Amino acid sequence: MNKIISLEAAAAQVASESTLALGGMTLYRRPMAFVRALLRRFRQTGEPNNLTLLTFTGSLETDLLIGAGMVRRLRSCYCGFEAFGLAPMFTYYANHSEIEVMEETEGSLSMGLRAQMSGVGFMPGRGWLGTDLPRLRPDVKTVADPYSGETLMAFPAIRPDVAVLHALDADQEGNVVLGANRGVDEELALTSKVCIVTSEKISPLLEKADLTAPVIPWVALAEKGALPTSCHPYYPMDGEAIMSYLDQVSDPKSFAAFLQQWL
Amino acid sequence: MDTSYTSPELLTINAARLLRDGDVVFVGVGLPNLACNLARRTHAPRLMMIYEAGVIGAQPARLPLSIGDPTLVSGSLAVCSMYDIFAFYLQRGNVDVGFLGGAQIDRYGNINATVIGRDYAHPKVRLPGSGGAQEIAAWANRCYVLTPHQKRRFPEKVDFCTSAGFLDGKAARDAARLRGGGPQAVVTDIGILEPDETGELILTALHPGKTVEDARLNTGWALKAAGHIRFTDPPTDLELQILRQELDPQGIYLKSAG
Repeated sequence: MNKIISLEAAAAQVASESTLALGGMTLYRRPMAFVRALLRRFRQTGEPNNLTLLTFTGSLETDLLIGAGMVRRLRSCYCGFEAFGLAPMFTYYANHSEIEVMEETEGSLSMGLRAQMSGVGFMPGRGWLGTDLPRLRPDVKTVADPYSGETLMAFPAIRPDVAVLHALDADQEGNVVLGANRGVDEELALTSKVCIVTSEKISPLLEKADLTAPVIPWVALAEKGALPTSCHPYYPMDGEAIMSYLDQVSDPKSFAAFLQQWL
Repeated sequence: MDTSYTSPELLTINAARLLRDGDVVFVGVGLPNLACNLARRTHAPRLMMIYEAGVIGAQPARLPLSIGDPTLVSGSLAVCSMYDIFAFYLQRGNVDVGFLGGAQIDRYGNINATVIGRDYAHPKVRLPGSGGAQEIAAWANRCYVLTPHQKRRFPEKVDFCTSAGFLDGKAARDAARLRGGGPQAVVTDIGILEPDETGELILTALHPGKTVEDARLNTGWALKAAGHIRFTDPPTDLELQILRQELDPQGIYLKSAG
């Protein structure tokens, strides 16, 4: 079965009000070409809107979608540019209480994804105990260990509607090579209802894969599709492009000017 | 001896000295990474570095810029999933040391990485968020905090507790059943704070040329000083040379004047 589609067709898979998960971590192997296609679609049609965006550690991709006004809720444990500084549009809208943040930590996201992968409703853990985090997330309940009686946090299963990952290589059947640094890409592929892979190249049938055809319904070609984030071993992060974004963008007006030019 | 060094160099060198040979360290990018590599090249060659992206036994060939930086994977001992790292390594108790930073750290070593301002819904400043800091703070055997010593960073109580220190005292941390030992040292550009028997951070060491008064003026609570305050040894030529020539030759993390 040929699963190859265009980036535009990939972007058309995301419905308004849905939960969209994006693969990679902060500035590494983010599906930027897909994000660009999604932003173009939104500019032309006003859709998709009111998204819940799930980004394990959000950065440029998250900031762009928030800046464009497509995101109602961010579900993440981090949004920023690491050593480069704060994420300007996330910070702006969060400071103005105009975006809902579903507060997570790396542990809670890992456990919620693991629950979904295992086909159970939650994963128990000792995270968050003693902190202010449970107060912000009344939906995360506690559970008593039936053997010891110990109270544990019950991190609920996470099920994205659509996950989009950027890969090093893929074939038309949907077999995919991610490379050594996988972040939570495997988890997102196995937990989402639909997983779309954008890939640096499309090869004849692969003989070795990190993700296999049964879990990948769609593949889109996106050469240099992670830039300006990095895609080892093909290209490093474009630090100047990252810094240029942070230099130019500080509020909705400067963001609009940037986006106009970037698209 | 080189007597001119930056504040990030001072923090990094003093953090490196806290590490022991054989420690398993959950590392972030920036100064903790530099401190681990400095320790590995001096007194702790068997120190093992773990990164949240699922990298175990990292041996980065150059300075990593991102937690997802591929230089962390190349040459590493093993790669696993993020769930493995958080559940099997951290929660299970297989990590000796975690490094933490944050916008605020309070009297009992609790850390805020979420929002400045008491009203979460209407923050003065939204911060990037926990990342993996909450889990590190709860489950690493020893936590070290590296931060500039400024009053606004050292409030009596954090606006929001993202990562647990001793909560409102050591008994509270025990009652919350957090397995790790909590913050064991806060290294600043003035000196070092360590918890007393109640979990309150007190001044135990000063860097050369600094005074107890300097520390008190830059702390948001009535900072107690230990009965005997020691002075840290100044950075050695060897330590500075390794940092400047090998680990961060472009001064990406170390240059900022302080």
